Amino acid sequence: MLKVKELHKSFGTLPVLKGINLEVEKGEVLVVIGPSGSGKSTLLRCLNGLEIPDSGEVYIGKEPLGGTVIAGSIVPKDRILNKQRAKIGMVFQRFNLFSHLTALENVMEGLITVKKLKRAEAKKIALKELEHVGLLDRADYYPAKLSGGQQQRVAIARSLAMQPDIMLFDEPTSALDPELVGDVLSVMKNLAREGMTMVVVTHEMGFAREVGTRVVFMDHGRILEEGKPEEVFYKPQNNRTKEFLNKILSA
Amino acid sequence: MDVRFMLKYLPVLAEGALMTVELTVISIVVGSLLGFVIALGALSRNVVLRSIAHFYTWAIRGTPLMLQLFFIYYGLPEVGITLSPFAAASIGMSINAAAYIAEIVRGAIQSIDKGQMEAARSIGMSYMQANFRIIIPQAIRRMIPPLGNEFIAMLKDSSLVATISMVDLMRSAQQMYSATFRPLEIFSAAALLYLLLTTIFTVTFGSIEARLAKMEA
Ligand SMILES: Nc1ncnc2c1ncn2[C@@H]1O[C@H](COP(=O)(O)OP(=O)(O)O)[C@@H](O)[C@H]1O
Ligand SMILES: [Mg+2]
Repeated sequence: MLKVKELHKSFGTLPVLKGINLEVEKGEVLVVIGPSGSGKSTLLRCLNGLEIPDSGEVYIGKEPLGGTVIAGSIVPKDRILNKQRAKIGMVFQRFNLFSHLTALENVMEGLITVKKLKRAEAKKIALKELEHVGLLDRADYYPAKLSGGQQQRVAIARSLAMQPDIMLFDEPTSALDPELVGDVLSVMKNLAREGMTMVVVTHEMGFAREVGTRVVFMDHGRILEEGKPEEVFYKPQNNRTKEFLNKILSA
Repeated sequence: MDVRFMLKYLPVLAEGALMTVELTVISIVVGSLLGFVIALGALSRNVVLRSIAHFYTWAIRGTPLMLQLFFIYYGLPEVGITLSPFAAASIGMSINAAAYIAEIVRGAIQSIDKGQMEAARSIGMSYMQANFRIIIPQAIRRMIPPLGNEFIAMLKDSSLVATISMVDLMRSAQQMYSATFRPLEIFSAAALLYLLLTTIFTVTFGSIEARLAKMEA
């Protein structure tokens, strides 16, 4: 489903990803953990071409991200990337709902602009997706009038409406008040149970244990450990993983 | 000061006021269109477009409007382009306004959170689609207050066209003062008309702002 080979990315002189290799099977829920600044967001952003890696390859199914790979580097074509992005859902830490559109319009936007559906058809799909995340009754609210948890669920519906093959989540609950985290996680758990392929950056252990099929631990731009959730959480092999887990468990 | 005298001259000045409104509206429309294009140039990834846009705003904002009007009305005939006072005034004001409007538009677009563009791109929108469907509609809401101020400033600055023999409100007042030697009455009447116009602008923009504010927090 998703394959990453020798991904490198620097910002100026700062190397952020130093050779990431990764594979995600269809229906898998890969959980990415790691300290702040370790490159988790950058990795996700390279997976949908919001950032173009300096070198390395990304495959969505059999297709290389951006269309072509020359000498081990992605040479992106905008039109191909746009098409691929429509099939890769992305959920951001800070929701990023379109603030001038209602919840319903947020979900309809990609259907109309990208998929070129008729308004009526787009609306039907959008309402169904809002129902999917339990927010049918908030369809006509503007984002500013929604709680963080509700905004994030609308953002998930906005991605789902495009019928993505895979969904990327970048710390989807870390900007939320604790009492709102549960609603978002339960939507994500449902999604996992429905068979959605997901890559989730999160420190929510409960989520990782319940639906995660694999956990990778990232530090300083490298994947240091990888395994089943119970292995990584309870029997971490790498010292840095142990330190990190101690820190977040004591917090 | 004779208020009756003042009131008597109001209708005569109103004709000049109409010209002021006409000029201001033309330069708002043309200046906004041009300003928008220049702003997009300034934000473009193309270095040439960006340089042209920066040069334009630098040159226009760095010289007085009166000089620009003189240049167009008195200077251009030297190279065979002779314009009527109205044409020269409209062109000069539009060109001038465009530079200021471009800066307002650019600032508003740049103030939109980067996450909006990323979210738009990540559902598959092209850069253009994201700009026209997501970024610009949000930026327009932020432009309304500074544009309102700019349009009011334009209305008042339009009095400078009196210097290239355009008979606007200011020049009507000057002419009438020369004819009557009643400066207090004439200029008070002109001031009333300017205030009437700026107030209409302010109220109109205030209500647009209020309507948009309902949507966004
Ligand atoms: N656009 C950028 N420009 C410069 N530096 C960046 C940019 N994005 C991220 N970084 C840097 O890259 C490093 C990794 O960031 P990030 O991928 O956001 O880590 P994480 O998500 O694991 O916290 C950080 O040091 C961050 O400051
Ligand atoms: Mg991050």
